[in-house]
Order: sequence, then C-alpha cells, then structure tokens
Amino acid sequence: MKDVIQFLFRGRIEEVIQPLPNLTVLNWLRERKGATGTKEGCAEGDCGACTVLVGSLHSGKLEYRPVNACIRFLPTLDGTHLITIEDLMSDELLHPIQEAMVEHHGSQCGFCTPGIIISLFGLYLEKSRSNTGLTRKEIDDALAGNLCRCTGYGSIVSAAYDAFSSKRSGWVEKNIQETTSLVESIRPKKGVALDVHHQLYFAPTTLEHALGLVKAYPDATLLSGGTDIALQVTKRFDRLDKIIYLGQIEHLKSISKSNEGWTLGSGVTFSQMMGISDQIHPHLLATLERVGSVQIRNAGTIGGNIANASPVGDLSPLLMCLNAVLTLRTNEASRKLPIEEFFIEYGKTALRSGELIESIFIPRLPANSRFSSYKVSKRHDQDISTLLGAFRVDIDQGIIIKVIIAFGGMAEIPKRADNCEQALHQQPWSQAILASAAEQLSNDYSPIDDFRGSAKYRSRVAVNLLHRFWLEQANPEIPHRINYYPDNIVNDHA
Amino acid sequence: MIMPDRNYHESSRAHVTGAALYADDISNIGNLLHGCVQASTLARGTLCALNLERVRQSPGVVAVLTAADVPGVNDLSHLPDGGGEPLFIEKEIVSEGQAVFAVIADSLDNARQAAKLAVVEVEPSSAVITINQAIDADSKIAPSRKIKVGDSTRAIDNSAFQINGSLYTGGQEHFYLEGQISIAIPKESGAMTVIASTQHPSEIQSTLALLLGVSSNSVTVQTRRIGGGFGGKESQGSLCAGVAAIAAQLTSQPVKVRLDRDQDMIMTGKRHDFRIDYKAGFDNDGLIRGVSLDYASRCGHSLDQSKAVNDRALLHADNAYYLENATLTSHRYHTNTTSNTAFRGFGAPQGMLGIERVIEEIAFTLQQDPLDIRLANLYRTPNRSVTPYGQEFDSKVLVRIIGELTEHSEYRSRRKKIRRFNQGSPVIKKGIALTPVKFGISFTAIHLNQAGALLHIYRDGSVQLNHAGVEMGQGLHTKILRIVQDILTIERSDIRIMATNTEKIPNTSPTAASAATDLNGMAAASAATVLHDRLIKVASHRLDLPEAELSLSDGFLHTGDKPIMSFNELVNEAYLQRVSLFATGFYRTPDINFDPDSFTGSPFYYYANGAAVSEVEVDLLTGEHKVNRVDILHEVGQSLNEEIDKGQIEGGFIQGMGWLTMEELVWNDQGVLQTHSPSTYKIPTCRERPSIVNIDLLRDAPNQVESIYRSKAVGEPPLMLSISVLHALSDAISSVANYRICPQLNVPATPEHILESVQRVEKLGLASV
Repeated sequence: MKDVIQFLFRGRIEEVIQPLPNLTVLNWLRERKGATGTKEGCAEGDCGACTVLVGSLHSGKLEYRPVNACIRFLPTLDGTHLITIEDLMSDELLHPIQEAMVEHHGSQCGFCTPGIIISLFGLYLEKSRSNTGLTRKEIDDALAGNLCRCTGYGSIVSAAYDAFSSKRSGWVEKNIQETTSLVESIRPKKGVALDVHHQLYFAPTTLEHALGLVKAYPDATLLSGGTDIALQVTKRFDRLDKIIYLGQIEHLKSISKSNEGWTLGSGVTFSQMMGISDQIHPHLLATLERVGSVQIRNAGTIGGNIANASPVGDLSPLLMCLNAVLTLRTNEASRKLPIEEFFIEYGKTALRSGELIESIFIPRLPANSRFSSYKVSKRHDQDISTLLGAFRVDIDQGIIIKVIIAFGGMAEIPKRADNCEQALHQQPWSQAILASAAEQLSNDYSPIDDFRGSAKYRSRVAVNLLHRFWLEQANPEIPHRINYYPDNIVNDHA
Repeated sequence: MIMPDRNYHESSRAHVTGAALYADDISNIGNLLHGCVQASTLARGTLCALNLERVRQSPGVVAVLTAADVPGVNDLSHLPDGGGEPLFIEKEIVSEGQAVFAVIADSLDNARQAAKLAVVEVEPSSAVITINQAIDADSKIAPSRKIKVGDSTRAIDNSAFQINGSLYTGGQEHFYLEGQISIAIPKESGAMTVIASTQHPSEIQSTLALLLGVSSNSVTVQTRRIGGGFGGKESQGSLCAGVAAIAAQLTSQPVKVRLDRDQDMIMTGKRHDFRIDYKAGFDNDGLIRGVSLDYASRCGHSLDQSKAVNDRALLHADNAYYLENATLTSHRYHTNTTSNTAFRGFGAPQGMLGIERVIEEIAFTLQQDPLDIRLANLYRTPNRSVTPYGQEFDSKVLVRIIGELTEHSEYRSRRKKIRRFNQGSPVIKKGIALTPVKFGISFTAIHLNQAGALLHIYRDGSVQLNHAGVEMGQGLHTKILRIVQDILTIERSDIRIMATNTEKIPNTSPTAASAATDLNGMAAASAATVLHDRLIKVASHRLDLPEAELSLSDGFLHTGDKPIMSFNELVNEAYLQRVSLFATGFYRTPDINFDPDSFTGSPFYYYANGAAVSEVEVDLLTGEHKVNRVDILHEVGQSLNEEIDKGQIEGGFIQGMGWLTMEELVWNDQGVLQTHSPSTYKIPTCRERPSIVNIDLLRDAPNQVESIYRSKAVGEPPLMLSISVLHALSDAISSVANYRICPQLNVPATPEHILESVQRVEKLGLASV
C-alpha cells in the first residue's frame, strides 16, 4: 500500500502525499492550487458549475468523462488525468468551444460557463471518435447536469452546433498519445492506504483485498461513485473517518455476456450500463438516461445505487422486473440473492457485515416478454423520481404467464406490487383485466406526501402508468408520451 | 454570423477561460478569516439561551458573533418606517433562516465544524406560514393599497355575465449560480473595504455604516461582477457583508462570508407568492365592464421591498387592457417565512396573472378564442388609453406587435391544427396561447431614477470608465462601453471598465428595474461628451481652427475627412494645455411623477411591450408537459446590442417559464423550507428550452421618448412573455372537456397541479354534459 496519489494535471504528474481523504477535488483546485475557474454552485452535484473532466484508461484507451468536482474526493483521482477549464486554451488560442461561446453570447454572468464548456468538451471528445452530426438531444443530454440561470440556453446550444462543426482540435486532443503513456505510467499498481488527521482511507486494487478491509473495518464507509455519500461531507459537513474506496478494483467494473444473460460488476457506472442497455432491453435506455446527469452517471455505480437502498433509487424497480440476481461476497463465501429480497426496510438491506455486492446478473428476457418503465418527476433531467414504475408481462397465447410490477417512490423501499401482480397472473392480457388489477395497487402501496408529490398524486399516477403500459402495447402508433424531439420540428440551428 | 468584436460581452473571454474573478475567486488576501452563519431552524418563537462555549473552544475559531457584538444598530432593513430586520436575532425569532450567531475561524471548514457545537435553546410559538393563514390572522405588514376607477361593483352587477375565482401563484428562488458572498478588509483609521456580490453597493455601504456605527465615508464597497442577481442581490447582500464587516472590525483581519447553497436558499428572500381573488362582469362582446382584483401577497417576516413590489403588482394589474371600472386592491401580509424581496419583474408578473386569468375566463364563458378577448380589451387610443393610475398609454406599438406576431407565428391556423391533433390523441394534448406584455420602465420610487458616471483619460490615451451600475451578466458594461466608445471613437480595448465602487460614484441606485442602461448609459454619455468637447476645444486652440470644423472619428482628430492627430496625441496635448482629463456625468429621468398615497401619476418614463405565442403538450396520465415552440416579438427600441437583448429576452422567458411551471417552494407546516437546494428545487435545464424558439426584435421602432440611443429597457419585461406558457397549458388541459371549462390552473403548473386540473376539468365536463 502507498500513501501517495499520482495523477496528471496541467501536463505533468501531480503527486500528493497523504491527501486528506475528505478533501474534494473542487476544494483542492480552488484552495490549494488557486485554480478558481472551476466554481462551487451547490456542493451536491446538481448544478454543474464544478464540472471537470477525468481521464482514465479503459483497455489501453484514455477516456475522458465529465464529473462533479464538488463531490469527488481527491484521493480517488489516483492514476487519472484531471482537466479543468484552465487547460482548454493552447498558445493563447481559445478552444473552438470557447470561441463559439464568445461569438454566440453563450455566457452572461459567466459563473456557470466553465462547467458548461467542460461538459460540452466531454461531448466534443466523445463525438470526435464518431462521424455523426451533433443533435439537439446530444446537447441536452450533455448539459442536463449544468444549470444556467441567465441565458435560457439558446445561445449555448447555438455555440455547441458551431463549435462541433469545427475541425480544429485543442491541446488535449493533440497530445492524446503522449498523455496516454503518461497516464499509463501512473496506473495504480498498489492500493492506497491513508491515515491523515484520524481519517482513514483505503483504495484496494483487488476484490480480495477489499473484502479483507471490509472485514477488518466493518464500520467503514464503502465508497464507489460517491454521488450520494460525498454529500455527507459537502452538505452536512460530517467527516467520513473510514473510507474503503472500491473504484480501483477492475474486477468490479467488468461486464460479461453469456447465453443466459448479462453479468455486470457492481462498480459498473450508469454510463457504462447505458452503453449496453439496448442489448438487454431497448426500453431500458429511456429510463437510465433520466438517472441524474452525465456527470452523475459517469461517477455513480449500479452497485452503489442498489446498496444505497433508497426508496427512490431508479435502478432497483427495473432490475426487479428483469429478475436480476445479486452476487454477494465475503472472502470466505459467495451467495446469490434475487434483488427484491435485498431490500428489507428503510435503510436496511440483506447485506451482512463483511459482505460486498460483487455483481448483478440480468437474465435474458424471453421473447414473449413485454417490458417498459416510466420515471415521473417535476423535471425531466437530473431530478429524483416522484415515482418510477417498471412493468413486465410474459404472454403466452394471450394469457399472462408471468408478471412483475415494481415501483420506486411508492414505499419505504423499492417494492413489487404483489396484489396487483396476483390479479394479473394467468389472466388474459386485456384492458379490462388491467384496469381491475390496477385497483389492487392501493392495497400494495401507501405512499407518502412530500415536496415531490402528494400520496394522492403518487397513487393516481401509479394506476395511470400501468394504463400507459397497456396503451403503448395496444396502440403503438398513437403518442402516449411527450415527444421531446418530434421529427417534423426543424432543427433550431438550421 | 460573426458579430463585430465590440458586441461580445466585455468579459466573455474571461468567462470562457475561467479567468473571470468572482468574489470567492479572489485569492491574494493575506490572513483571511472565514465566517459561517448559523440560522434559526424555527419559524417563530423565543431564543431562550445560547451557549457558545464549545464553539469558541473549537479548533481554529477566532471569534463568535451574536447580536451583542454589533457595534452600531443591529438592523439590515434600511427602512425608517418599521421594516425592522435584525442582522442577528436578539430574542424574538420570526422566521426560519434568521441569523442566530456567526463563527469566524481560520478556515471555512473549521468555522462550519464549530458552528455545529452550539447549544441553542428556543421556545416555539405558533407561526403564520401560508397566505391563507395570514389572511385569517389578518397579519398585515403594511397598509393595504387600492386603485379605484369608475364603479366596478355596479358595472359587474349590471353585466350580462359574471365570473369569479381565485388564483395562487408560488414564489420563486433566484438561484443565481454564484451565491451570496462578501469579503471585508479592514483599512487604517477605522475604514473598511468590502468586496460584495451585490446589485446595490451603496445600500451595502450605508447599511454597514449603521451596523458598524461609523459614517458612510468610512466604508467602501466594490463589485466587479456578480454571478447572477435577478433581484436577489438588491437588498439581500447585507447579511454576508454585515457579518464580514463586523468580524473584520473586531479581529482586524479580512473576513470572508459565503453562504452555502442551502443557507442561501433558506435565509434569503424570494419572489412573493400571491393569492389573487378576481371578479369580473362582461357582455357578449367580451369587453370587461367591471373588474375587481384582490391581491394578497406573502411578504415574510420583514418589510424589505414588499411595499414597492406590491405597488408594482397593482400598477400592472391592467397588463395591456383598458379597465373602465376597476377596483384593484393589494394586501401585504406578514408571515413567519423568509422576507420576500425583489425578483425580476418585481410584482408585475403576479399583477398580470390576475387579469390574464379574467380574460381566459371570459373566453371560456363566451366560447371564443382568448386572443379575440385580449384584442377586444386592449388599450386603444384615444378613448381607451388611460391606465387605472392615470398615465396615458399609447398602444400603437403593442397593437402592431400582436398583429405581426399573430401572423408570423401562424397562431390561428396552428390553433386549428392543434385542436384536430387533440381529437386523435387521447393521452397527449397540445395547447397554444398568445399573451401580451406591457411593462412600465422607471423606479416607482422616483428618487432612484438617477445615475452617475466618472471617466478618466490618462496621458497615453487609455480610459477608465466608472458608472453606478453593476454587471450581473445582463451586458450592462458591454452596452456602456459601446456608448463611450462611440463618443470618443476609440477601440473598446482602450477603455477599461472598472469595478463598480462607492469610492467612485456615490449614492447610487440599485442595478434594478431594468433601468441600469437607461440611467447609467445616459450618465456615461454625458461624461464622455464633456471630455469629447474639451478635447475638441483643445484642438481648436492648438490648431487655431473653429471647433465646428473639427471632429473625432476612428481614434483620430479630423478636419473634414483629413486626420490630423491621433486621439492619444490629442489627449497629451490637452494635458500639456492643463485641461482636465476627467469628468463626471449625471442623469435623472425627466417627466415622471407618482404619488404613492393617492396611487396616481405617471410613474413610468415609457413602457416596453412584447408578446409571445407558446405551444405545449401535456401528458394526461402524469401531468408532465413540454413547451414545444415559442414565438416572441419584443420591443427594445433602437437596440444597443441585439445579441445581448435577445439573450435577455430568451433568458427572461425561460426564467419566467420556470416560475410558472416547475419551480416549487414547499414549506412544511412548521414553516421549514423543504426545497432548499437544486436537488429539491428544480429550475429549467437545457432540455426545457423549447425545440423551436423564434425571437424577433420589433424593427423600426425607436423609443418615442429620449432614451440612450432611443433604446428600451429589456431586463424584466421578457420574463412576463412566459405567461403564454401557462395559458397554453390551460388550453391543452381544457381539451379534455371539449374546451368548455376553464382549468383555473395554479402556479407553478407542476405535473401534480396539472393532473389535478385535468381531473377537475374532466369532472366538471361530465357534470355539465
């Protein structure tokens, strides 16, 4: 184990000996490096003013992804390349995105601007690997985690179209070879162990090592993407005295496919999952891309989302419908658990002391399965669900031979609708049957009133979502969802 | 299209490279201490005991401040007539978020950790939280105001049709991206310099003088730029500045106080929420014969700017419509919630919602297109042109705007198309609406309509420009640079715009009321003209030519077309001739008057007009919606900078749309704000921007009154263009009962409120079949 972290910053290897485990990348930049271009807007990963790019190696290739520096702890940068707004210019020349932002009046007060540019730059690097033209949806996706209160976004959208049509590349793109070998040279071979001001931090590189640590420090905080856990430090000003960071364990990030289905390591990020979700089921993506923002999905892991056991975690209802099975590991043993058995009550899961979620197995859906899920929130992007419904029926000769209905936001844990399911099982797939089964939802759930929605609203919408599931299967040619990108609408840049 | 360089935002290069410095980015201040303010978690009660021993003992703590540590007057209100708003609570707690104490430590983290160690004993008492509670308790914070023209009661009673109802509008958090912050730096002999994120440096200056018990000449406040204001930094900056200045005086060290986002949202004021009760009478022609509008607003725990905000609501209760018989009443309620304050539009948006609802109700009653009801009731010269408060309004421009917009947006044909679409679409319903805006420009507090500028020319020909306005992203500095540049005919790069500073321009008005360019632009033009004329005189003297034959252009002195000497040479010549190379400029808006007691006069120098057509689609199963398209035609006079003006229009529209559709402030029964961070309070993201946004500036429409370049103010008016979104939603919802029932949609039209409205309309529709 080592007590120093290394990452690439401003073209050279930055070594930080004994970094404070609770120090965020944002505070390190602003307070220790005087790099104040990256801003704090909310300290909870919701406004994007702190967006930076983190480059890391994936099968020998350097991939840059925007993340929120305000909820990222510095030690987790070990072995990466950190890019901030100050890196974009080369030889006094603005990057095409910066130039376009100037020319299109993309900044007004300017406070969100560095974060906006970094998010667009992340997309720019991604698009430079493909030959497809930029779409409005890609811009909206890239900026879903960046709030601007001044512009109304129009000038930023125009700037993006303009910049992306440029063929010019900046410093980062030009130096990608050299940078790759530099990052290669600092790839963490040894785990990190820190003990600074009574704050312990471990970043093991193997699962076995991690499990040993989990056993040795049963009260430690297990940190993956940190998109929720870091808020204890940045919002509640608590200190996390013992952290075991799981993000350096390659094994947990693996994705494999077999005839039976998919196995996803618990450290797979939402972004990675989105990359293959179409192959699991084409309807998954529409919900996954409404989880957090690009920055959050680049950091947040599926294991973290499950282990967090939030009543409004978006992944769990989906996985329940897909009959996902968790593999839970200690150093001594491994067991499998259907995901719905994982959640016991609010804040309580089936995870035992010393145990980690190793992977999630998602079996292949049979051909006669119909599946869909709907997220409902006040805002389309980067919002926590008021409720989320996931629906699956397997139909054989017009009869429902298998049914799973699961909701988030309707109970203290993600939960299946047992009574409603029972009312549908072995029944004909028909509107009347569905309508009468929907009445059972009030026996399955007693949702709460909160600022996201009243119990009455949640109950009503739960019924309506089941209705939508029917409508979309029965009448696919009629619109049943809001269409954000209608074909007949001319691109506003044209 | 590539614009000439000088049109770009003056800070844009600094913005896009991260080099633009905001208060929190200023790093070269030695021995800087950090403050953390601890706020009340109780809405109403008594502070019984405050034990700060463990706070004081905590690592890094240098000082702990409470009400007892305020050297001068413990008050931020800035109002002589009972606005009382203590910086620190003394005994009575009247709202969540009031400051109880502040910790000053060597790091922000140490200050925050220490603050948690306080033992605060409070005794809760019953609190008034909602508007309805306040109305029931009759807890007024200021006397009600009324505008009465004609006899509305009789007119309503004698009409063929009567409608009445209520409308609730929620408040709005400013959500400027840069939160509240101040840095106080103690200087010699009791002086203090404060770097503040504020729209109103002069008010911070005078408030600090009172808090510190010194005179104003001991306090200097400066602001280079702020990361958004929207009204939220007009009076709200005093809290951070006050704590920082008191701590700096006490410790003789610089102190920074920056609120974190949650504190900011809990502690500082927001847009006023309103209940509007309306009653109207009309005949078959849709003309409003009589109307009564009752506005009840939640002002919060102190007066702050509530009087002026509610005055402006009343002054915009007519929006664009002539009201022959009207009783317009405004009640201002005291509640145990954060003290509501200025927010872009300053009461006018709420004022307009009432009459727009009335228009809508008439349209549903008469089964007509609401646009036709709007047109019927519009102000018309000469017989229908006097506002309820007695100012003449010439509606020619507005009539033109509505006409052109109706045509260009194809409103009429789209409306038909949408109705056909809805017939074949059981779940997704579309809607469309056109609403106008008439917004009065000038501070209604007449004395605020003044501004100053100070221009220095140095011997090398470079220029420093100071004026009274604050750059908060609206492009003020860019416009003013252009004005000075045009007069002196030099490059923009030769002029450096300086931080707004009370040392340079005293007694400034807030950068607010959309008027900053109007006021400061005129002042700067005046200063530049003085120097221009002096330079011409110098040249005339030197060259022995009549002044009339000399001119400045392209940075050169010319006779006729012939350049004679460069601006720089001319400046040096002036210096050698011992001619002053600095000048002040001052401007006061002419021809305005207002008597706030009788509520009559001509408070507005002019009106800014516009209209918008919005098209939406609503999901009947969840109440979610999307704005698909907006067409805007807006009047900015002779634009000083078209791109900046369009940016203000679009930004204002989207901000208004956020207020009307998604931004929801929720307090629990105890008066504790539940939505105090962006994870729970949602402002529009890029995806909410409609797929089609067509923004046009009204062409060939210079300001009729003499304003700077005959331009018009643009900061606030466009926000109210978003009212078209609310009415388009209403149109979509009403389709579920074949457009027979007015949905009476409340604000914000969140999915839940829309779904409620859908259910209500469905039910009433069935009942009325």
